[in-house]
Amino acid sequence: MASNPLYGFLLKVALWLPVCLGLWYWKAEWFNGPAVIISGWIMKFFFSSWVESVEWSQRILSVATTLKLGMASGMPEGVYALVLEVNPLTYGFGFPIFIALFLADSGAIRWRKMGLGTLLLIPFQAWGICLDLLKQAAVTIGPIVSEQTGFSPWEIEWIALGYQFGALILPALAPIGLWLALNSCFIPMLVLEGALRKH
Amino acid sequence: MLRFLLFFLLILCGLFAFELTPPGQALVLPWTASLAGFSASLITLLDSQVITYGNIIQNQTNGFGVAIEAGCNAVEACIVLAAAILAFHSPWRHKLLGLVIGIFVVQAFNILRIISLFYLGQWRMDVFEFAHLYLWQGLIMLDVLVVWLVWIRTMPIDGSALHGK
Repeated sequence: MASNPLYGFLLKVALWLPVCLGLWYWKAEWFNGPAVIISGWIMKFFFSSWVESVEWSQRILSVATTLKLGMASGMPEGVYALVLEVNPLTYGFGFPIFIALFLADSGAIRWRKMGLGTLLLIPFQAWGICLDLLKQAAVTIGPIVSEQTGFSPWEIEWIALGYQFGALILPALAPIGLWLALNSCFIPMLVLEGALRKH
Repeated sequence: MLRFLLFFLLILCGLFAFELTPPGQALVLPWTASLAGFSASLITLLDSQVITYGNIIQNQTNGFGVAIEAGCNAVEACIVLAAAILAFHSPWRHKLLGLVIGIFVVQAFNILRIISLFYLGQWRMDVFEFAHLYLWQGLIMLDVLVVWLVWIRTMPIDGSALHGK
């Protein structure tokens, strides 16, 4: 294993990942709290016309809105307001990946860079959470609710695209991209090591 | 580094946007269905109670089924890998080799994910949720990273450049 530092590094990642993922899931309220709080602020600031309150409990972020739901057959008479719900953890699993990559790196652990990376991951998670909420209001629930949000057709298209990108690409790509950016010598060293091995 | 980042983001966004268009979906949907069919055919080698229809794999005995949706077909992981390989400065032959082998490895790993989730769901739903939403999502992208790093390490380098001639 010593003759191939890359495989040694990957083995350490494989060992650190279950530890980091388990800890992150166990203390999910702590690790996902910052992104949830920021998402709540963003929703209340930019969509104050229809966002009423934000609540974070039982690992679910609930956003109470003033958006009125349509009546379906069998529903008791009354006015129903929409409550949006999202699981912030589905956008936050990049955090344990990032930490596992950092801890697996054979060099001295650079705590400042790890802290910086952890902070930089928060906007990516907030992106996923906010776009998920917006997608629900603008697309999923239906035209009766969508019309009340005031989004134009183009804005709805961008929300859908932003949601897809924030759900399918960003959560797993952001931690790896940040780790590579904060370890800018890793790739050149790998190229050099690979070349030296051949010559 | 800046050149790589710029090209990577351009290719990534371009391929991802294409995936969501009708021509892109015309390629992705049949691929997803064939992935479900192939996974089911692998499962039926050991478990004859499994059937597949469209993008769904189902156990006939207990009724449990999984649907292979966007995000479960590893198309996005392949897009990320393709963008990383194409954006990295290397010979075209090496890029092509990396794309073919890399996409094959990522898809093979994804079949392992589908089969493992299918059985985890029949065993315990809470473990299935954890593995589906968090563990495998991360593992697939780490698989992309591994493939990319191995590809970089095996990149041919001009010996004279290495000796500074």
